[in-house]
Amino acid sequence: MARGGVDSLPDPPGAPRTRRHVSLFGFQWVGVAVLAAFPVLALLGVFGERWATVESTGGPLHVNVRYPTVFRYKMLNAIDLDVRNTGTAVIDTITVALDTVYASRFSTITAVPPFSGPYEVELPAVQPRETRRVRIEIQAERYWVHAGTLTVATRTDTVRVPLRTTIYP
Amino acid sequence: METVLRVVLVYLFLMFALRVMGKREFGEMAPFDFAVLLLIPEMFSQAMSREDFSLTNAFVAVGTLLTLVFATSVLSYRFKRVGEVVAGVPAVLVRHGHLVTRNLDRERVSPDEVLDAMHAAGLHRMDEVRWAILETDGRITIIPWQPSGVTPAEDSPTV
Repeated sequence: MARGGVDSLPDPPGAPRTRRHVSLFGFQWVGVAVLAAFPVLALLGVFGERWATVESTGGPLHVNVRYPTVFRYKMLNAIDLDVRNTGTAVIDTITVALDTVYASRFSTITAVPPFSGPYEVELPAVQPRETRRVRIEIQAERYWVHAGTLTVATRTDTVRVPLRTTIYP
Repeated sequence: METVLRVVLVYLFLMFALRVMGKREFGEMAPFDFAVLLLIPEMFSQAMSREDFSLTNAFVAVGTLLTLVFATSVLSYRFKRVGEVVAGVPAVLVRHGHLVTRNLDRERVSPDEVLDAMHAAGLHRMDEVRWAILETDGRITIIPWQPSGVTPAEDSPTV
């Protein structure tokens, strides 16, 4: 063995040095761009959840609805509705009803206070200047765009709030 | 979307962790190593998807992962140093018939494993081996002295 021990013995030769350039086939550039588009669009919020807030007034009712406009398959979300009696008299019953066609696009629909009829919540004895909250939890089931109406009504007045929700697969 | 960041973090963590584990760990997997490898995705899948079972989320996660794999591959090819950091460098285990004990210790390769590789290459004496190299994928390559009757003393190594 050489005087410097095993460390002084030569290693196997390395790979020859070449100038390295990244070169791809045309279809690979396209494929990579498509693949990279998913995280880029996701970071830009394209696939993220989005909500909208809608306010509407009719008679003594002032309604504020916050609902999901975009979310994804099987995700849970909620429609939050604040209804305020802006009048001076007690309102016997306010009925909040979710469009059944719109509701059928979701699964596991629950409400607080609970539904008293098919996607209907009743709010009894709403005092002047009192605000009540209704929360309807929905789970995305059917893909694409679903439109419907949330109706808030007393015996004499009705407020309709249009809803439009996109569910990504 | 949070999934992108989660996939990036998991990818970087796994790249780091597998690099730290060393070449031998996944080069020839023992049953225990295989079990560990199966457990890793099991543990990370929930963390990445957060019970988001949508196809969109799966596309985003896989798109992110493959983009990272592609970017790593391009950078490793374009810049040699990056490749060395990501995949490591081969380690010489035997030089001119002598075991390089420091590399054996670092890579946790026993002389018996070198001997196994020698046997597979049809060699049985250490002085028949010019170089034994632990490759970056965990395999041991045996390079014998030239078989054309050239003895170790006559054949000067090329560098």
